[in-house]
Amino acid sequence: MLKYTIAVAICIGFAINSYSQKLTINGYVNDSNSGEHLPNASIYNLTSKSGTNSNFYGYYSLTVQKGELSIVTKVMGFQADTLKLMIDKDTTINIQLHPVNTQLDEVVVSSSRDEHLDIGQTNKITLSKTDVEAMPQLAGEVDLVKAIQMLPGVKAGREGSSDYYVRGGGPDQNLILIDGVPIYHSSHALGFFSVFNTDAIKNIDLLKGGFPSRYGGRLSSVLDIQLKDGNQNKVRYGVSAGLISSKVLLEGPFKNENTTFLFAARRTYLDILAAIVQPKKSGRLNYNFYDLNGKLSHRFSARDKVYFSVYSGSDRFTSKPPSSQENNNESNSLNWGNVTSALRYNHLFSNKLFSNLVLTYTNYKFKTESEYTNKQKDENYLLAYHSKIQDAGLTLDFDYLPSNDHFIRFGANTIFHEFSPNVTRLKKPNDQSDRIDTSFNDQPIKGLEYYIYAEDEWKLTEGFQANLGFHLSGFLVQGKRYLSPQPRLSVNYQLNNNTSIRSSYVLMTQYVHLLSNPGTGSPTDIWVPSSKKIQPQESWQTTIGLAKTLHNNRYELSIDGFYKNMTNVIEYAQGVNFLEEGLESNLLNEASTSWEEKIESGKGTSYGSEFFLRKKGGRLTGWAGYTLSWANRNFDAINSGRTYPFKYDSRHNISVTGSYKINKSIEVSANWVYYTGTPTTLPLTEYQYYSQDSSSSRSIDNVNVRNNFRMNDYHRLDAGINFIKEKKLGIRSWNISIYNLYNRKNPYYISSSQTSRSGKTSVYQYSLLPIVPSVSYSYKLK
Amino acid sequence: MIKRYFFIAIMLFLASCETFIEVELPTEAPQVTINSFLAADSTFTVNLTKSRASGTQGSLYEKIANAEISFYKNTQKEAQLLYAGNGNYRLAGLLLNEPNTLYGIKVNVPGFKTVEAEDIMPIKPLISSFKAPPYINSNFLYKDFNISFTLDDAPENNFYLIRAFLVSPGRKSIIYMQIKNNLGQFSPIESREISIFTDKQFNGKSLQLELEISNLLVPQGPHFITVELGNISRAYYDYEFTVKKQLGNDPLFGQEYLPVTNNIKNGLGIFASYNSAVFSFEVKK
Repeated sequence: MLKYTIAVAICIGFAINSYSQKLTINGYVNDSNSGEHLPNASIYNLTSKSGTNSNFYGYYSLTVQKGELSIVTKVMGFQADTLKLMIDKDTTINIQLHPVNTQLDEVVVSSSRDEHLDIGQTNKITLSKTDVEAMPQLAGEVDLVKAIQMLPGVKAGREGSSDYYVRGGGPDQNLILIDGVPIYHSSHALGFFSVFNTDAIKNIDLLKGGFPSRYGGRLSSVLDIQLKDGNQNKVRYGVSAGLISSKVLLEGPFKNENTTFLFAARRTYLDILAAIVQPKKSGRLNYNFYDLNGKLSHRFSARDKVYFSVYSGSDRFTSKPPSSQENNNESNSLNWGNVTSALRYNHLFSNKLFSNLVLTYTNYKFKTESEYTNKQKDENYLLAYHSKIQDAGLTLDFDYLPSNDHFIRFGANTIFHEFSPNVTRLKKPNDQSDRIDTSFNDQPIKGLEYYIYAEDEWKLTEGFQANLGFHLSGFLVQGKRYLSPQPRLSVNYQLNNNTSIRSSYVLMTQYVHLLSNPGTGSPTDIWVPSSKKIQPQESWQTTIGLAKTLHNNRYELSIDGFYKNMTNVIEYAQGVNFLEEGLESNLLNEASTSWEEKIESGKGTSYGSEFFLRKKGGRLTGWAGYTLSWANRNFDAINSGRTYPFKYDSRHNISVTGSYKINKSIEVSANWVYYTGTPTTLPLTEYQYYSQDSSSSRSIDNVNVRNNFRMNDYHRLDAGINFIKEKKLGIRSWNISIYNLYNRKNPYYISSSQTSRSGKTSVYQYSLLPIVPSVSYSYKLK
Repeated sequence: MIKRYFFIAIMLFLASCETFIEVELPTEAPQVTINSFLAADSTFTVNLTKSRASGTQGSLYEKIANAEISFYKNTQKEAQLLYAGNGNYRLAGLLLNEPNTLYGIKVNVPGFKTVEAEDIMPIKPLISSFKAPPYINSNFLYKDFNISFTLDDAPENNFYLIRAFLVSPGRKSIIYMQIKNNLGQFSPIESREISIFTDKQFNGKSLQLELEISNLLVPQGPHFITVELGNISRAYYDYEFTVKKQLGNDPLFGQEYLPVTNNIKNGLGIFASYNSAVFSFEVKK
């Protein structure tokens, strides 16, 4: 034992000694205009042909040899920068990069034969705010999720929806993080717009597989959205107005660059328009949503920085039918929204060890209420339903960069969850014998989720890189403990300067589930935890792919294949849905039934391949994606136990998006999207309902064969044009967009009503969004 | 003016919504449909038909007359059912009242996979204090009745049905009634034929029930009112519950049809058991 200890000590001493012969350059990579730290920047030493990346907070640490160096720094959306310097001691250098769009310049991609291929991260796609803003808009709204939906492997939900499905997984299997805080519901207006205000966004990463160990808790994807910290150099504001909403942005330093703030807000004015249009006597129908993003950051020293960020967003729909009598009052409302906040402390222990401590809070609430009051009879009828989740979390992460060959991350996280998935309150006092005033399922379920992780991005040789990691998660609920060890591995081998092959294998576990209504979708979907009875969802996914850069790095090409296996995915049981209508029929039985009694657990598989060609520089930027995939589900008690296609299974998905800068003032953009029709369930056969007491014979529609019909294929072209003008104080831009330019009537829903015409069957197909032109205006201070 | 533009915009939007399209629907092969309700102290019958394409004209389903049906009790084969015409197969004799017994059938129809189903016979419900006073109101031939009784619920999860019949020699017709109870927090699913409910709100307690029969047409001659309270299996309850949901509601826009629960392996329909307590009283003129 002693020999072993001595040997280890000698090795460590040797390692420390060998590292001590080397020097370290460390610091932050910043946006030269705003001072914002830039994550995912590649910092590459051309002299030693080794490099590193900035972490999520823009911090980097590069190990170098003493002497003259040439360091190139690159990050998407910014001009590459090459530093030539002489180093004879550890040095801190904060690197400033110039955005490519601020001067309305054409983008030129510099390249060098000696540069390394920096597209190695398996299954990860980074989008910049510029990518999203360049795309055509729907109703004047720039939408991050609409851009995500254009990526290969990502399938949009129903027409116009902000739901997305990654590699055959459900919408609950997407971990959506805003500044590291999970968000449960990501859309407004029944799914038409996402909750993300692009004005406040700094960086967007989407991971579809090969998840590094630092991520966990969802099976299918991670959408990691980082908000801006606020401009360090000067106070800036921006305003923009679209057809349905307006936005403001205010950011800047408080007194000096050490303290910054950011405030962004968006609100619809549909309720104001409705108030003008609807006469008071005819009743009222109102809808609005808003988003608020706020962030404060303060740098105490070069080693210590604190951030506090808040997001609040809410939708409110109310309706008041016209009263037949003066004393009658009836109102209905539907509200949902998220509040998240994070208090973050970044500390640099040394130039090689970075830490991040975060306290988080999330609250998601959905509530619907119907109330009827008769003042004369002193009657009050109320039916209220709500679903709520509250999370409080603590995360501690460390980034350790001992050399350019290792980027070690380790840490721990714990989240305290409180779920109230389906609380129903009922008040019905008008009849003495049926007097009711009660709540059902109002006892919250509490759960403690936690994980520890460690990973190393290890450059084994010059061209061979691996991310080896381990994630151990657990969940404590209703006295039951679940524990899940999850090994993670992704490897990347660079064949030459512009080609690499890559592969990954991950195990994932998820302790929260979304119960989706067949058909309607959000926000009536409810989040529920794993429980004594409901097992956590688990998956394994393996991928293999090839990545290549072409034409002096102007183009990125990647081809990936994937296979994903999921267990314990849940769905409503046959014949069950969200909540019954009507008080008299069976509301009490339904309301008093626990959600656990309404669901089935099953399995899912998905597999396919994805092709992605992206042009990052030049006048024309954009990408083309194609996905060939299969996604299936299998539940013992659904579809007679037979495997059936997942509701968003689509064989072929094609998306093409591009924007072209005609000159400094005009930029045009277009999207085209195509996918094979999604499956739906139609009653193709019927069978006899044989009542013991009724002489009449009735028919039951046989809809036990799940997803037995495919709707027509979906395709759509959107186009937009931006007129940009540099003014004295800022930049003004007008956007004119047309959604669904050729007015394709895409299937949203198929009704089974059918008649025979010349031997063929006809059905009613309903479409939702026809051609939708829009215009928006924005002004941003320089 | 704004209103007019708004109206025009809405109309344009809605006009683009609906399209009538011709499609080639896939065909699904017909399946054996079982309709069988297994009651203690009664004759056991299985009705067999074939499912058919949706929208087929006519109310009659194709009867299956060439099936072989084996009857199982606690997984042991007991007997073979005999064809009695009109798609019905019967077991000779009455079924004994043996609660908690697992009953099953295997149905072999040429050209189809073997169809199987099974269900457990519930216990007989306990009823006390049955009161059926003479009619409370009479308007020539139309009469009102109030019937009351107490249901003593067993501690396990139970599912119930209530129905009432007007019985005269050679004739039995269902009566529509309203149900009231002393707990309040209880609302049965009512349909024209039967009312079903669970004991979720009164598990293990006594429930006093009151049945109101209004404007019952009682023709000349001797007549009885029979009230049946059945303890039904979970499969029976789920089936009636989902049938009511599907038949009673067209799906909302964007929603799919709700399926009816099905406990038939390799087929469709229902094989369900129930155990009833029955009370009768004569309708006094």
